[in-house]
Amino acid sequence: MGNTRILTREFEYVAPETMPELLALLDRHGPAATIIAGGTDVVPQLKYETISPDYLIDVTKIAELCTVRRDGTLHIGAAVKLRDVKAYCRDHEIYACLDDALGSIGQVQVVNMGTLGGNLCTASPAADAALALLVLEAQVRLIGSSGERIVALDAFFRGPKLTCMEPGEVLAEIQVPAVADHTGSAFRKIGRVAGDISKISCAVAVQSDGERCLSCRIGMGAVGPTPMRMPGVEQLLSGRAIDTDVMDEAADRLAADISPLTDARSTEFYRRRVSRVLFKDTFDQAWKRVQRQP
Amino acid sequence: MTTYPIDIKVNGEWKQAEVTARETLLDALRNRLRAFEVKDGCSQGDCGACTVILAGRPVNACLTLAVQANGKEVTTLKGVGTSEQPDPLQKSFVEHGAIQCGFCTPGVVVSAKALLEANPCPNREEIREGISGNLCRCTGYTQIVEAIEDAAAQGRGGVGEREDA
Repeated sequence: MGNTRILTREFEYVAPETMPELLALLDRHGPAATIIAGGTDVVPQLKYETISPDYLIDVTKIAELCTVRRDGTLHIGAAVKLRDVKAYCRDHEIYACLDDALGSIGQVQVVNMGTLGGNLCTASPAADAALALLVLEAQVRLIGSSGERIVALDAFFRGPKLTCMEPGEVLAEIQVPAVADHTGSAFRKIGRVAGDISKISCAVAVQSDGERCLSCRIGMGAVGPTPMRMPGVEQLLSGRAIDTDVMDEAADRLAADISPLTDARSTEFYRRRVSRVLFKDTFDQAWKRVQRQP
Repeated sequence: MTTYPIDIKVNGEWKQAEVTARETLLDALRNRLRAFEVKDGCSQGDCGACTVILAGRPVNACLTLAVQANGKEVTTLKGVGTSEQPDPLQKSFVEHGAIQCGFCTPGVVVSAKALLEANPCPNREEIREGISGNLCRCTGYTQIVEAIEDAAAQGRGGVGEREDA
């Protein structure tokens, strides 16, 4: 990782303006092509020489990838800047956990450059926005020259930096379904400093009648090969009245269900211990947000 | 090797350059357009020394390809103010001692300028968030935050330039 000054690889740059042009380029160049949107992940990878494309295809000129619209479902174009997604979420409290997650990235410049689709396609186990989208039960629309398909986000991630996308496919849009009434959500993470990559992250969306958890979705990041849902904990909490004993039980289950590693950012021991606390705090915040609703 | 003609409006003036796809905006600004006020710090998007305002928003020039800036407007430190005609924000940095080695300063000032343009009366939290992508290894940020706060307060009073400065 020594060099960060020079992009040693020579490549061509193309910026198609329509989806058919983009798909044709991907078909023509196959694995020699890499898609770039905000560049916050791709440019460092070019510098580190972890990718070596002959063609760099810029998707930010394609209008349909750069729009946000809502018809019950929220449709976010893959090349919409994180900053614009954040501005949208700020105005729509039902997406609170996504707002938290985008806020936690910090670094104004990165939020201005990075895109939501890029955050997902990089498929980092520690991706903040991805975890929030996971508990909002988001889906992605993938388009290839032979057609399109919709994939649930938890099936989209296959491993660290791995997605289910086939060669020639493009992530076109992120779809966030309508959020049920009396649902609150939150995202929190632990990093070394504010704005850092997560050591552990947690997102919670909970539907409550004021006393009982009617249903919930819990996601944990950086404690497994992908951002993961915690179905065991979700089932344990569903239908239960929430008190400290129930939360301790849920936290125990969560600590048993995650599969953290020791790496440069943290240790397996730390991650398992602190996940319990982070989960309880995040759940509590989501819970308070439901109670605040009219 | 393929080259690409680009037009970039740097600090109000359209400039042309012939770049390769692998040149970053930072490379093009420094090496081709001689904008040495844009600093090359970490070159990987961590430190913010190379911050410029691109199409109205602060970005890391080291992570932007020059070809991606084609047709867009770029503001560097010199577009905020120069030694001869400093911006009140820059004067405030000097008055508050918000500069030590000075390497991060061009990026911090550009981020602060973008913040004040979007939000003329930021609170401390918003100021800290506004410069969260800029690392300073000398000052510990206190003076920087105070300098921005003071510049914002002057702006609120409707005074473009301080008489006593």
